[in-house]
Amino acid sequence: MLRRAAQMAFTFVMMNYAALTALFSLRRGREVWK
Amino acid sequence: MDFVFWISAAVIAYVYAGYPLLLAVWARVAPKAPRKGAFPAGQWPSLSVIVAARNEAARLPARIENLLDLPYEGAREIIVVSDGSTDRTEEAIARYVSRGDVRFIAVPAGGKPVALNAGVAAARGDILVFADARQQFAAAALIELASNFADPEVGGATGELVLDCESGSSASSIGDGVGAYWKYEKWLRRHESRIWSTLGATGAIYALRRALWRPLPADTLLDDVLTPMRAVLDGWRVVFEADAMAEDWTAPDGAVEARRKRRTLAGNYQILAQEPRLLIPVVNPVWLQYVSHKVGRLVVPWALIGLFASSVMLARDGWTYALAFAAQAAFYALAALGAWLDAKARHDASGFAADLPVAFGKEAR
Repeated sequence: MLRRAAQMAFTFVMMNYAALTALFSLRRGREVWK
Repeated sequence: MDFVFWISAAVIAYVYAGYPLLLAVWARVAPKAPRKGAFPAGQWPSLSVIVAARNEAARLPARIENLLDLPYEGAREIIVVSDGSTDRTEEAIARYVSRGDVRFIAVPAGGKPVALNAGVAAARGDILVFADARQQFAAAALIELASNFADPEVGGATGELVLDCESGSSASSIGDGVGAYWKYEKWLRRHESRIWSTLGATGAIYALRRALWRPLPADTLLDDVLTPMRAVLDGWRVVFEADAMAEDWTAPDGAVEARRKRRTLAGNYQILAQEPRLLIPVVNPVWLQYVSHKVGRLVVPWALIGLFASSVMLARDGWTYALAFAAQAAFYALAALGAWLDAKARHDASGFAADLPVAFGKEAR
């Protein structure tokens, strides 16, 4: 239960952190093959 | 500082609770189901299935077999576009090309948008179906996608990408988190489709009337959002088709998922520059949904920072602020535990793999 809650909290924070860093990684976007 | 606290809290609450609630009510009060239906025999639209790939020689044969096996009454063609592959992709699918099952196009490495542009330029079908090399389509996928085009208002249809973590069968160290997020995201898309249109598609499985295609700029990050949203801006609707499924696996750990997510969110920023019309209410028919869902995701991180910072500064000014600070501190501590578990799983997996003979390295990941 705690493990699952920790995973979900981590995913939420990681995704929001990604939105912040996305601003700075726009320049590199083309190098990443989807 | 009170202002920062309450505005931040309101933004977060609206994006993650208020908007879904609004959608649920809206979809119940004023649903607008697409007039989906089977075409008369002999009148099913022709399909061009386009698979853009780079160095996917190992996966493409199975991918092509899957596409050939799918039942569909109308004509179909499969176009594989190799984007500067160096792994003998052409040889890997040569037997399908020689039998006439697949058309193969090789372009110099230029990125997925360039490959898609080349594939669509060669396409002859009425409907374009986009697929990746990695996933497999469920049996009904083509029929269910195409059935939506019986509605003359429908310009595109996106299928449902089903991740292994949704059923708890993923070995990913963040499977529970990604699974919960993806179910929530698909719930939003399903309800947005019920009231008019989704705000994009899933790149692994979506269809579009060929007449609506516009060549992508070479640096496009989210072709599966830009293309459908251009159709929506032109007055078409793009529907979510839950009966057209593609299966995929979850990113193995947080680092891989973070990179994927960063790319997606960078694409959300980019698309506002590519199509600023999305931010104009009268011009964008799904303006409220777009701002609430897509722009909201870009704003929430700043609101989280604002909420935490203001809570720290106001914690001594009242029990509401103190409680908010305590709740956030507990939440971030939980997230830190999750990060530690993810890092530990990654470390254990790499150590495990290093101890195994080479032949088992792939399974250990």
